[in-house]
Amino acid sequence: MTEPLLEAEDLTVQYETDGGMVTAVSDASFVINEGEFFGLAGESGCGKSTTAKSIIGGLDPNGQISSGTIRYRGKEIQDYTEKQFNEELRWKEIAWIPQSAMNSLDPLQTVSEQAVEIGTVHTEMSETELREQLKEMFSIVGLQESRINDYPHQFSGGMQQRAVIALALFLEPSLIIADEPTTALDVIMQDQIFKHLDEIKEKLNTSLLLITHDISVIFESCETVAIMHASQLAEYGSVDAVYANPRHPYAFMFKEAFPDVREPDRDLEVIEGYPPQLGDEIGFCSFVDRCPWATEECREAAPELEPVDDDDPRHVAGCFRKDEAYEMYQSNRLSSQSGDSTTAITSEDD
Amino acid sequence: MTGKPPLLEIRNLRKYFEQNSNIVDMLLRREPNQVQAVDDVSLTLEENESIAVIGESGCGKTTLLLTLIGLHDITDGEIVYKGKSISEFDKPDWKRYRRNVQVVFQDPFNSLDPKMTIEETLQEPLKIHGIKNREKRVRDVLEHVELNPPEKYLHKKPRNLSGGEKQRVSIARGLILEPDIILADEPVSMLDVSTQAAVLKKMKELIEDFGVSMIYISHDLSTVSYISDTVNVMYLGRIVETAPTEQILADPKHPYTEELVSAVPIPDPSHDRQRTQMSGAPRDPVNLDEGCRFRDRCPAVIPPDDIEISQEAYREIIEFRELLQRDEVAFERVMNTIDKSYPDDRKMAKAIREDYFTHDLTGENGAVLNEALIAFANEKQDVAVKRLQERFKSICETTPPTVEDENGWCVACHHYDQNVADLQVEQPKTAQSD
Amino acid sequence: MLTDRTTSFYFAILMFIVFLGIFGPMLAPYDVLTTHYDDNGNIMRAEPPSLEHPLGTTHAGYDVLSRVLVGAQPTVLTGLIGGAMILSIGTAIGVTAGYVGGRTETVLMRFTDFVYGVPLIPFAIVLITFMGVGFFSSIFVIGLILWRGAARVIRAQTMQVKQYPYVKVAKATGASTPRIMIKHILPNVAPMAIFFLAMGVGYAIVLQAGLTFLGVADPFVPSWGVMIRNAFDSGYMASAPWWSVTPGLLIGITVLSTFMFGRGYEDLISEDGDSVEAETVTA
Ligand SMILES: Nc1ncnc2c1ncn2[C@@H]1O[C@H](COP(=O)(O)OP(=O)(O)O)[C@@H](O)[C@H]1O
Ligand code: SF4
Ligand code: SF4
Ligand SMILES: [Mg+2]
Repeated sequence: MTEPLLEAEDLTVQYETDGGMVTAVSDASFVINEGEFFGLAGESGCGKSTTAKSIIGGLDPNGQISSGTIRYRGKEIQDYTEKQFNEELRWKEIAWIPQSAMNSLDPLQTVSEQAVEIGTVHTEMSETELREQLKEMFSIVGLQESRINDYPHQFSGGMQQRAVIALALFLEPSLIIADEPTTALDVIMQDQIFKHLDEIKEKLNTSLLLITHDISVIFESCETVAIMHASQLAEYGSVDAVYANPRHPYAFMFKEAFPDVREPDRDLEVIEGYPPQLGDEIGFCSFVDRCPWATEECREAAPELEPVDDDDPRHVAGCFRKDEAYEMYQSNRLSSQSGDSTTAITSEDD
Repeated sequence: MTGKPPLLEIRNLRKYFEQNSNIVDMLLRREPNQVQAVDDVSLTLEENESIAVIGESGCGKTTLLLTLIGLHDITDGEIVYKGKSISEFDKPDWKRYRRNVQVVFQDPFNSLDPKMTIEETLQEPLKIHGIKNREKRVRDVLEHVELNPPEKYLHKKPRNLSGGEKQRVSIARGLILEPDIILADEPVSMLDVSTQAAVLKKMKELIEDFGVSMIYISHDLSTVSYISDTVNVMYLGRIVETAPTEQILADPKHPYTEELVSAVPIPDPSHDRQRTQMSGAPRDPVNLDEGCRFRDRCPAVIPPDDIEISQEAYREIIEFRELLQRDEVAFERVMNTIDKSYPDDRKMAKAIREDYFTHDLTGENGAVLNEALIAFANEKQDVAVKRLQERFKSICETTPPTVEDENGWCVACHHYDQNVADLQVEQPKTAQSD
Repeated sequence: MLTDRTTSFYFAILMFIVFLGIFGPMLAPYDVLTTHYDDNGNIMRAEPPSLEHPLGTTHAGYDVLSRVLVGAQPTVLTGLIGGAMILSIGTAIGVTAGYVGGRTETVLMRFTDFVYGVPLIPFAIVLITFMGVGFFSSIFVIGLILWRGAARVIRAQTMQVKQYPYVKVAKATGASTPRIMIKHILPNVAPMAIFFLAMGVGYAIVLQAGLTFLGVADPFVPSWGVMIRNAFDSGYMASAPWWSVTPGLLIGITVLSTFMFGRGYEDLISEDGDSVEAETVTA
């Protein structure tokens, strides 16, 4: 159960643009275990999708893994060719659920035709076997088995999304990468989809890399969470540890920025400013311009991920002042709650 | 009634659209389909109050808003602003209304004219209403929404602003005429959390400090809880429950509200929440008949008193009958699963039953269902529907009245026909367990 | 104002062409209708470029350079008037139909369909009988017909722009219909309008030449379009390329420059310095 399935080490991904090199992921390291639901959170543009795409060999043509390794079941895959990805990994081992299901199904083919096509390319299974397999996945995601022969337009939006999930599942991959699978849906539909993902995990011991900007979904559905800010991994560990003992300023501020229906009156955290645009070399903490606790040190080097002192051995945070900052934040918040000051913290920055 | 009339009152508002009919419909002189986007909605907005309208996508929230700002004609009902119905508005009234009622839309990316600078965008409303001292007002409003210093933004075009900044400009445009009412349609749903929090905070401040009233429309209960005092829950064009936000979150009454509240993710890993029991999505609001609109998905639909049937089994029957009435039973698909060489109506009935029903029905209930299915297999759909209707008649097929308790808590569900306060929904509680 | 290099470049070209239009006739070395003879007294039929005749001669022994210079004036006028008519009629009808909708739209679009059905040449001939043969009437005829394509496309664009929330907001704030059309719709359909302006300039120049040969205008005014027609009709198109290439190129350059300048200018006025995010860059 706790075998590492996917390991990324010091992963750096860059894009070549007219304005020079852009670093989208910088020195990220993390591990996804077998049967684990792993959530990757952060605001748009922080490099979540890029991380995911680099795992499955799906980077845009101007993007490249500049350094670092990605191991899948112990085997290095960062230099795999398109052919190797297709033959060894895609669909069978690692499947992809894109953000927009509507665009990922071929409108001219029934779902089963599409499945058979994928299946014949990637496996030796016969057409009948493939159809049977798809039926099983349909029933797992709560679609009627007989509907495998429907065309995409015969499904509603939420059903299409589930059909895409069934398709991603049907060769029984060990890892599913889902990029904002429910962002466009309302809460009830979102909950229906996660209900099915829960079942899949139960039945097939599948791992999930869930990419979303909504940390409440991760806290609810995943075991592990990684929070990214502008290309750098800020903090990562079990959801319980990160929830209870966040250390990176971005992580705890991000967490407090979410409204919670249980406390409608709580003051929401506001993270001032914008993530920086990153060039070729990043020798600083990417949160420095927005961080109330930044010091000169933070501009001089990029912080390494270091263990956080708590029950979770995997819990790490990348901040030079990880313990002080959190303490200051806590005491500040406490005093502002008892006093009548309106904002929780004020920036010490210029 | 004494005292001031409410700021805005919506009385039994209806907005129907006619669906485009095709040539066959026209030749047969069929009535065009009615899309019942907003159906009999009543709301009251008092001064300095913030109310929310929530519901799944497609339940009519945006239509309601567009009707309120006068971009759609009213099919029926009334919108009353400060005691005067907008159907009686003359030109100056309209001008006053347009000045005092402002909107902020969901999509910050298309809410600002890409060809105008921020200054031009903000000056437009002032010019339209012939207001002087424009430069100062534009600066002031930019400062209010914390776009500082204003000079930095005045000459920018929207495409050079981030999503959050654009949304602040939209809000600034909504404020610049110093309106009484702001109508906000999912104003933060397309923003990142950090920005979302900032924009929500700003809006809350405006309500509190500037005496603005707001109707906030969203499908996201967690942001609603932050900004509104009262929540109206909308399902397929109707308001099904209205109550103070905190109460509705803590103790939702209407089965739909309950589902909605319980589906909101909680940002806390130690919180153990049950996933929703509901399946599917709301049906299209086309040619809806009488009765509760939620009955085809309602986990608490009420079985008839006079027959012996479990609630779960009853739910399946209701769901199936709704499909049958809407002609949405996948007959051919089911038929493909059986041996077609002997077209035997019993076999077909059995196949349909296996496909659509998981609960066993025995005795009279089972017999009636079989009769209906056989009728359906023989393409006598109306007979099938009639058979099921006769036997399994639910009170939910009549439109539930809206009942109100002494605190103004309103619910429209037959579980609460007598009294809102002391009735409990008889269903396994899906709500929170901590 | 024009800081953008490409835009300034096309602006310079346009200015040059206008300059030719104004001063061309004064710069022409010879009269356009003088037949030139060589030393042997033979007509210089379609002679290739030489020192005396830098762009060669036509089959009637006319100097091509002089004709190009003198022809600039009618050409520029044709492009200007024709293009402007196509642009203004097409945009006015397209925007009004698209934005106002309803009966107004039906009437305007039926009318546009009707104009689509009108064949240019016969219509020109009929109209000319009323307006009298002449250079200007030939341009008017073109303008009165060719707006139809612009109207259709701009109507479609208008309907798209009309759906944007910012138009709804403007309406909800009380902006009048003409105000919305002028302030919001027009600027946002401008890119398409500029495209039609450029195409219109080109069409007008070429079609005006065509009409000239039907006797609808004076064929002795050697506009660039007329020159190409002359070369074509004489059968010397292939053997004396210098005769038609220069006017052809000039028409092409005029159309391209109108388009590029229009687009560049349009971009330029939507420009406003750097993004705010970019200002927070530290890297
Ligand atoms: N094809 C590309 N070319 C250049 N830059 C890109 C490309 N794709 C993404 N980026 C940049 O890389 C960064 C990370 O993007 P992305 O991985 O999409 O973030 P996220 O998924 O977290 O929103 C952003 O700054 C984005 O603009
Ligand atoms: S304290 Fe320094 S290292 Fe830590 S998050 Fe702030 S800027 Fe980064
Ligand atoms: S009236 Fe009936 S169907 Fe409607 S919500 Fe109440 S119990 Fe459910
Ligand atoms: Mg992304």
